[in-house]
Amino acid sequence: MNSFVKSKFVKKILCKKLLLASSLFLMVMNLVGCAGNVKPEAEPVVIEKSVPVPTPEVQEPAKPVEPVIPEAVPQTRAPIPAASSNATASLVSQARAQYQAKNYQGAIATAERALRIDRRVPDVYLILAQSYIQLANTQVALQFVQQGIRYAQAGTDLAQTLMQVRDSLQK
Amino acid sequence: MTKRRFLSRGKKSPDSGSFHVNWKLVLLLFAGLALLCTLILGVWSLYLDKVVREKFEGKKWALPARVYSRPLELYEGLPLTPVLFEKELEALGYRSAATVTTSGQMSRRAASSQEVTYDVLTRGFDFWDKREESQRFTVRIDSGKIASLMDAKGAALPLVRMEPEEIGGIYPNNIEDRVLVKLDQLPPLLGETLLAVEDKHFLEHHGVSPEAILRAMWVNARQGEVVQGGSTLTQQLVKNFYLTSEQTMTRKIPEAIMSVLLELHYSKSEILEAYINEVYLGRSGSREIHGFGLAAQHYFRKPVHELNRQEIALLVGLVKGASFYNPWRNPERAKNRRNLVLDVMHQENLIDDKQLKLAQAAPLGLAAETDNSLINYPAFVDLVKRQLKQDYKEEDLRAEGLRIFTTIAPMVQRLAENAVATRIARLEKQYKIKELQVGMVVTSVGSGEILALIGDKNPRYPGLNRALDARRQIGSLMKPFVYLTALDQPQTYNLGTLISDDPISIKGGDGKMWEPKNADNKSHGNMPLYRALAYSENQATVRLGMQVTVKEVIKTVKDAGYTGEIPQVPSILIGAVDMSPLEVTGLYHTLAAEGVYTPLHAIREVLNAEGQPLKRYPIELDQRFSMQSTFELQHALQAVLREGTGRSVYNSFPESLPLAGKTGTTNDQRDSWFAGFSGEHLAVVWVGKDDNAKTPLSGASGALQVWADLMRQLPTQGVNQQAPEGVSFDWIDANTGLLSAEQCEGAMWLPLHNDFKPKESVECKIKQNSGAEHWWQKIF
Repeated sequence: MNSFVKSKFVKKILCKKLLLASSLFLMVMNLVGCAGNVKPEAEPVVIEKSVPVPTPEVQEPAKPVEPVIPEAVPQTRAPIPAASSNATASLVSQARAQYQAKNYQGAIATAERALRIDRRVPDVYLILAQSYIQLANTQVALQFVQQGIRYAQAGTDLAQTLMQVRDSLQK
Repeated sequence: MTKRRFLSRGKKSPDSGSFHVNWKLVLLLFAGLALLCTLILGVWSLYLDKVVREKFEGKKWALPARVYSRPLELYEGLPLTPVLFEKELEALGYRSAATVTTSGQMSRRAASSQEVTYDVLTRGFDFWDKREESQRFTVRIDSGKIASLMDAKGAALPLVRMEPEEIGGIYPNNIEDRVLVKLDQLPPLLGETLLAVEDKHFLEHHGVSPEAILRAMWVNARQGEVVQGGSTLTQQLVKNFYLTSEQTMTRKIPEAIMSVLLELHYSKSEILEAYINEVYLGRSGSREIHGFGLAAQHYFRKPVHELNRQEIALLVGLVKGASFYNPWRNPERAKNRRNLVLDVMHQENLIDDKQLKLAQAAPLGLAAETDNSLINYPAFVDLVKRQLKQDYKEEDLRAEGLRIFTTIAPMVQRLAENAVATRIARLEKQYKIKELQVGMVVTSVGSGEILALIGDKNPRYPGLNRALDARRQIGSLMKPFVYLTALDQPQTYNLGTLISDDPISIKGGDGKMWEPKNADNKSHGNMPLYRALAYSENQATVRLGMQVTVKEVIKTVKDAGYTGEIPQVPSILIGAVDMSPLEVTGLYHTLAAEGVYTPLHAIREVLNAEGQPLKRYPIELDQRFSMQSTFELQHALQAVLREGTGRSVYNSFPESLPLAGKTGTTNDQRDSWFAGFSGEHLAVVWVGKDDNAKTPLSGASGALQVWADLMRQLPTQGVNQQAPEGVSFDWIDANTGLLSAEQCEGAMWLPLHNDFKPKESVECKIKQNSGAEHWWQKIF
């Protein structure tokens, strides 16, 4: 709000879009006269080539993969409750929301933030696995789901879910 | 006759008839000339018009790629100390204040040196996934970690993501640097002041101001040289943007034409926006500071919207001559200039009497002058560039304004630099040696992200990057892979399995006998595997390696992530392989991450200049070794530091912090290595000489010391002590490898594979003197 554009001054500028007649242009040129062939000393003629930059990665949902992906995730905690559990829980629910909104790249990025904080939270691996399944990258999904199983407490709903996903991927 | 007439005509007043003919000719000539002039002028103007539009409409400037650190994520439980947090805030340009009112400020309340509470108002930042808005929070750090994190209303916050630190750029040879600012991001006062000082009639004129030109011409004519310009802001822009800075009359003409053309095609706001980004405002070494966005960073280390009145006045004052008024070199001159600008601001009613007085009395308030190096962390940025070059062309990196988000944690990097600089100097003095060198890599465990990288004992020196390019024999750093190969066969080996340390000789392919010796030139009889590793015995290790086969050991090293070639010869079992510190880090990361291979990486995301994501470098995992065998191996690597070759470190570490690692020393002590980790951080250090000469250093007396200096300062969490499924601890007799019990002599507490524990028990001989507790008893 405190911006320059919003100031009365620039409003004045913006309204004052100049449309100078070409006569003014010619007038100035005549004023300058036939002053000879002065060239700009820099070499501004060079047209800057626009260098192609790799195009942004497309967030392609790709072909949905057969296996059942349980959507409801039991919020079971890791065997070692970490002090950082508030932070990871908040990121997990954020990633979950992104996943539901079909923003799989976003879900992966958010889950990775959680992973950097605590790599022993199995929920994170489940989201990563499910997101990679949606992106049709089953190989990577399998790695994450196996990692999740590693950290999930045996016998919990989460462990069960992870194993279901693994089994369906291995089929 | 004709001749006479002609002559007489020459002398007398011209004959009307022949005069008529010549006049016509002259007129024709003039007309032709005028036509030619107009044509030339027309063509020239068209050409200039093309020049003006092409450069203004295209990408105006080549923008170097900007490299950012990882953002610090704050949450309850994060290991952190007040000192480290304050360093981080300082590096981000936060200012201390009694009460926090604007972004970029923090206030501090200390209950003790251990317990400090901070109020912080962040600046907000556009990350690749979303914008983090400016936010006020209160964080309490107590006993080495964040005890609470709250928002302004006192409600608990799960997480705060700070802004990342800008750690450098990827520059072209001609280094013109700028941070683009849009007009609506410019503080109104800065815009108003700029016009008041540089071009009062900017809104009224059409690119040139004849009145100003006449005044300048008059002054210049009197002086006999060009001393004054009657330039409008538009002309200044044209001069800097399209032409060279040489002041000649011939340049003035295209400048005037182009200024009018520019005004014809573009609005005042577009011209002003280009100006505020183009204007030259200083120099740092070989890097030119252009535009108010970068100037605010350069002089005050803050974004442009945080500038106060006197800071705005100084920057506007610098337009007249950034070198002449350089506030670091000529503080008095700069202050006078600033105060002059403040007077103008006052005359134009931009500030009132009181504000003028306060601002003129204020000090310059400059940030510390940055050193002339373009990049703070040259070794790390070097690695980033190498990784980027696989995906981007060099010219894109230098011109496209890419924003590179990396993994470096400046907090860790600074600690590592400090550890390296002081310890290497100390070692040189202590051992009276010169020209020691060092390479060091620190990663987080699990994500494989590189947090710090050092390529020289003077860490800011951008020379040979030893962390990446010094490939040296790794010596005993190879041994854990021999033991891991064995532990991956749990039916045959566990940490209590006995192995003979007697002399061993192996016939090489050339028929010669190879007889590796222990470091102390002694043999130690039968010993349990874990102890042979902890004490780094060569004879026992080679014997074990031959049992599991060299081929299998090589496979283990490759599974751990090594991509180079390893000759299939027995000498590799004790490290006759060259690797760089970075390669070693890759291998040890797999050990630290419980057998999961993750490619090390230095980049998280790349965005284009508009903030659109171009590429992510996601975390990848691959389970290469079982949790069981790596847990057992980690236990043996902890024994290295508790009782083995690295035991000196616990003189200065708390017993309760489990750490693991391995020392490495090569022939004649040419290389001193240490690779070690906590549950969160892995660091690998090489110390030696560039010419591969002998040193008096072992792994423990050289590299381990650097490593310990870092780990002592770094808030971290210990190695995981919870055995995975399928593994449990039990008592093993050191002399027989059979089951034992707690009170029995020679009993060791070791993690064992449940399915393959020894079946038989040793006859227990109760310990006579219970003695001191063993290290494993202290941590369980």
